[in-house]
Amino acid sequence: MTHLSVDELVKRFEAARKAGEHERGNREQLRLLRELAEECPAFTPNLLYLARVQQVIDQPGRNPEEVFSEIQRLLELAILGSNRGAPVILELGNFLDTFQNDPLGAMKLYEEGEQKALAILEDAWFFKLRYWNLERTKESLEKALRLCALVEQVFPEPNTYLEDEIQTTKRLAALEGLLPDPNSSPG
Amino acid sequence: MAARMLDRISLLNMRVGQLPATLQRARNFPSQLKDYTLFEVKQMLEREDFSLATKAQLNSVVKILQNPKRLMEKL
Repeated sequence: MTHLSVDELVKRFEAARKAGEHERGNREQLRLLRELAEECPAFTPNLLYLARVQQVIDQPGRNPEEVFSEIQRLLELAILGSNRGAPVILELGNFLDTFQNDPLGAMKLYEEGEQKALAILEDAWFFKLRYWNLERTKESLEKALRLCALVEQVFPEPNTYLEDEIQTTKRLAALEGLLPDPNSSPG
Repeated sequence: MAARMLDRISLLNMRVGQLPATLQRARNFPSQLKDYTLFEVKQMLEREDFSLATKAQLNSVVKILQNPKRLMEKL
């Protein structure tokens, strides 16, 4: 059997989500989500959705311990398939904390998820600062200065490229008269 | 602002008994608290009132009650 194309995967996933429009987690929706999870266990958005939906719906006739172990297995698979992506790591942490009485294991995952999320945030802020620096208008530099203040609060030691972009914003803002000229004062 | 407050009120009004029945049948589920709201459970914790449940059980209820609302926003 040939592997589903990415387009087909996304279409099947969208169809499965739509099947729960009127009643989330109905039998048909669960069937579609599970089928897709079996055919492509590496497609993590589907695994994450199936794990989440089973924490908010009733499944009469099923043993809760069996539901919990299915949820945990889905989240562990999604962590592997996503190369330890932040959203899945945090979801497993919360699951262990809430339902499996493992707060210490959960905390380790919260910290790992936090580090990954912060690295993503650092990138997002670097890209935005670069965008505003290149635009180089009074308005864009004012926005960049406000973001610089926030960056400095969250990342006292930003990575090299973010730090460089902050310095660029400050130089350009000084030239624009938005900041005192850094070369005119001894400090 | 008002919408956020209403949202928070609805969260604090969640009851353990509103959780899916399947999950309520799990081992260690604090079913004696099923008619209490998140607000009431948090008050018990703040007052250190462990007459109805242990601290661990109350902590567990807080997490259980916060879960569905957060998850619903992601589905």
